[in-house]
Order: sequence, then structure tokens, then C-alpha cells
Amino acid sequence: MTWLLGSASVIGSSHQVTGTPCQDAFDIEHSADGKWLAVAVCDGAGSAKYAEAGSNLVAKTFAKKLILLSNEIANRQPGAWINDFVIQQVLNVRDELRTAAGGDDLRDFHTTLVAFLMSDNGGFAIHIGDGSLLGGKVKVEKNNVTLDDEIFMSKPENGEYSNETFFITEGDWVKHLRITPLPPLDWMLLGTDGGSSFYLDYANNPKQEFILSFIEHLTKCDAQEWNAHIERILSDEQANKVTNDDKTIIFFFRDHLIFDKKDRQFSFSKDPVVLMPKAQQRTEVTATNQPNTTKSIKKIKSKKNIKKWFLLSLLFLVIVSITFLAVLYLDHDLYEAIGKFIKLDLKAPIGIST
Amino acid sequence: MTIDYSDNPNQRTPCVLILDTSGSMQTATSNGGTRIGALNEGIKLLEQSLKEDSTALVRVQLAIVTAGGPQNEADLMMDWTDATHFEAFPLKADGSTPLGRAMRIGLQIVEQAKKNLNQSGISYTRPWMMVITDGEPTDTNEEWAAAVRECREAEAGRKVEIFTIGVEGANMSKVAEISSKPPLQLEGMKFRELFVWLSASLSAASRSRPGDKLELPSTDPWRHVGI
Repeated sequence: MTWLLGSASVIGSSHQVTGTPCQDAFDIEHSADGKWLAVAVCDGAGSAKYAEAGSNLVAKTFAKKLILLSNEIANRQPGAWINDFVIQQVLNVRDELRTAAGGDDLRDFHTTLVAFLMSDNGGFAIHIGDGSLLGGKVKVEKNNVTLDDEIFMSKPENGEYSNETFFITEGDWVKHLRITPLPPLDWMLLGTDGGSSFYLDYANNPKQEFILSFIEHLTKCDAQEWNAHIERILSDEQANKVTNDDKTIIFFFRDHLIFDKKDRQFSFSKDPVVLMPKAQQRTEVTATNQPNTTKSIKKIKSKKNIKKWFLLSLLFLVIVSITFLAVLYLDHDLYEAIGKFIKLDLKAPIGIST
Repeated sequence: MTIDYSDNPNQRTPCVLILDTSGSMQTATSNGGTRIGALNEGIKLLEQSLKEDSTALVRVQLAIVTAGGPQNEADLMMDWTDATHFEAFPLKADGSTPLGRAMRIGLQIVEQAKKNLNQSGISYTRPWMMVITDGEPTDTNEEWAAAVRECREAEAGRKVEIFTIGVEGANMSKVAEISSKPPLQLEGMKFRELFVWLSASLSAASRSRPGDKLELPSTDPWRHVGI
């Protein structure tokens, strides 16, 4: 599998004013065989003393540890052990943070984490706190590029109040760890809180128009220019009206869907619907390559049930009819009795002995 | 109460003001005015300052509950109003100080505000409740104790951020019971400075993002530093 990717991190206007550095960080890793891609994006808390160091350390360390999972998956059936592996890697990252902090108090390094591991057969998202990940499938027919209306997403988690979120550096991080299976996807957007505000609305629903024009804009130009394009979008003067926070966006697109045509028409198949994959109830990975959405599973199950019952009743009817005919064939009296009952003078058919 | 949120999907910072409008607020001040006059001027300035701030304008929500006044009751004088629609109106001082009852109304409407915002899919920062008094609550002991207990519980449960301000003449030990944060005493009649501070603080709160530390402006311009 090859992905084309573009990424940019731009400092927020509020941080420019106060002279604080950009506290967003990200890292992208490929497996040795090129079949897997691991990405981690971190948003350091503005209130944390070493937020920049925290987000950098977590993004780099976690992406490198996550890509190791690809070796394991190649040799083992997907299962609950993937959960354990991810949790173990978070523990390892927290250990490294402790070394950096010189103690057990990680408050000065508060950072969120959005990450994913992806292959041709799907993958999963790992998420603590805000920021977001979303993606979907694409159909290309002639000049028409159609984005599937089903969007897979790992939503931001805020506290009750919108200015609160959760960090990998907190004692109860495991309560907020969400591991979400993802089907194979053709496009993906990954962002910190500031980056997400470009493509998610205030209720965290995807902004259809932005996503469509963003994908159209990027896929119509050379992938080598993607970083510069994303940086331009994030630095636009209008962007400061969207957010004054640091902003990071990473964009992925399947390379085989890119053609040379510049006159392609982009659209969504229908208004997008967000499917919240099953494992939003955190830490429940059972398979890495299933489109595990409660909606589709229910649909498939109920369809299967209807088919099963239909076949069973048909079989039952056939058996009853055959038995009935056989009884009639063998028992002449019964045959005539039925004839009387329905007031017809039935003659015994040939072959029935009296 | 119904508010149409469709024209303004911004996150909100609700703030309810619990204002003592008892008879003692008619006390004359050194510059020839009255306490209630100075309070009214301060509220007018709050309106101006919020309207000059393009972010606070669309994010701050206000409500006013009075204790006392011509009705001699605890009254919801103004239900939740976005800063952009807020128009200051003069309050009249009279009667006793049912502050405990006013605070309970405040806590109730704070929860109501969250419910309304949730239903409209609008996110919000932690609501504020600011209590300003110049006297002594006239609630019964039981009423006062229940109100204080509710305030402390709401504060400990992180349901609301409570600020308490005592104006000259206030029984500060009673005011101190309301919140775990010590009460601040207003220097003279610096209501104008107090409300400019409130506007700037609400503005900061309304801009705060996840993980930010909320830095409020200094209270020095209006706070009495006594010995």
C-alpha cells in the first residue's frame, strides 16, 4: 500500500502574542515492508510548563512504538492482545516521560494523543483527549470522484466544559483511552483540537463543504506541494477567526486513486453520516480488518436472520406437503373421505389399491 | 425559557450576578451618589466593555438575581441573555437581604443554562456566579445554612465557579461561608473597576481552550487590601 500524505503544524495567534512556542507535534512512521503506517499527533496543554517537550516526546516515541505492532500482527491473529500491546506502549511512553520529568509528576508535560496504525486491510485509532481522526472511502468513475457518505471517526473527548480535556499524562489516562477499529480507508484527516476546528463544526460533526473542497484542492495538485498547501490553509488570515490555538492537520489519500485529470468532479454520495465504530467503548479490539460499526453489523445480522427463517419455513412447507401427498397415495379411504368432505366425487387415482 | 441558538453556535461562558439590592444599598457615598447608583453605573460599564470585545460579545451569557428591592424578595430580574442582547437597566434598592434565597435561584438557573445549552448542542465553559453584598443576609438560619451548603457542594462538584465580593459594611465572615475561596472586599465604591475586571475576566474565560490555564486579570484596581 502506498499513501500520499501532507502535513503541517502552525502556531496559534494566541501563542504568537504571548511568545510561547507551537505546542502541537506529530510523527509519521512506515513499517520496513512498507505495508503499515503509524501516525501520532499530540497537543501539549497551554498550562503545562514543558508542553512543547511533552507533545514532541509522546508523538515521536508513540509512533515508533506503534509501528512495531505491525511485525506482531503479521504473525498473529488479531485479538484482545492488541489492546494489551497498545496499553503497554502507552505505559512505556509514560515511563519515558517520567525519566524526562525526573519524577512521577507528569503535569508539566500534559499532552493529548491521537494516533493510528493502518494497512491495506484496515487498522485502528488510539485516542486520549481532544483532537480527532476521520476518514472514508472514495469511488472514482471516469471524471467523477465520489466520497462515500459513511465517515469513520474518532471524536474529541472533552470534559463537561469545553475548555477541559484529558491527557495521556494524567493518572486516570486509561479511563479515557479509546481504541477504535477502522476498515480500510481511502482518505483520512487527523488533527489536534486547533486543526479539527477547520473540518469539524461546533458539535464535532464533519464540515462537509470544507472536507470536499480540501480533498479536491489537494488531489488536483502535486502531492509534493501538499505540505505547503496545508500550511497555507492553516496560516490564512481567516484561519485566526476559526481558532487562536496551535493547529495541526495531517491528510492521507490512497495513491492509486490519483489520476492526471484536472477536470474531475468531486462530491459526497449522500450527506455524510458519522459511524461511531463499536470500540468507542474503549479498549475492545477484536479484529483489525473489519468495518466494525454497530450500524452495519446490525444490518447484516438482521438480513441474515430474515434469510435463515425464510429458508427454514420453505423447507418445512415442502416436507409437510410431501408427507401429506404420500399419506393420500397410500390410504385410499382417507382419499375418499377428503373427497366427501369437500363434496367432490373423487376417484381413487391409478395405482391405489382398494 | 427558550433561546434560539441557531444564529450563534459559539461556546458560552454563563455568569449569574447575585446582587444585594436591600435598603442599605441606598446609603450615600462620599461623592454624593448612593451605593445602588454606583452598582448601576458598574453594570452599565459591564455592558459597554462586553460589547467592545468581539469574542466576549458572542460567548458570554448573563443573568441577574437580586436580593431585596421594592418587592423585598429574591428575584430573577434577568434570565440568561447573550452579551450581544444585554442592556443594562437600573436596579432599585429597598427592603431586606434574602441573599441565601437569591443564591439558590442562582444555582438553579446555572443548571438550567447547562441543560439548555446541552439540548442545543452548544458547548460551554464552567459557569460563574458572582455574589455582591453590603450587608448581612436576612434569611432564616436554616435557609442560610441550606443555601451555603448548596453553594459549597456545587463548587466542590465543579458545577460552578463562585466569586464573593463584600462592599463596605458587609458581614465578611458571613460572606466567607459561601465559597471556599476567600471573599474579596471592594475598595470604596469602585464598582466601575470591578465590572471592567469582570468583563475582562469573562472574556478570558470565554476564550480559554482545553488545557489552558485561565489567567484572570489582577484584582488590584478595585480590591481593598486591609490590615
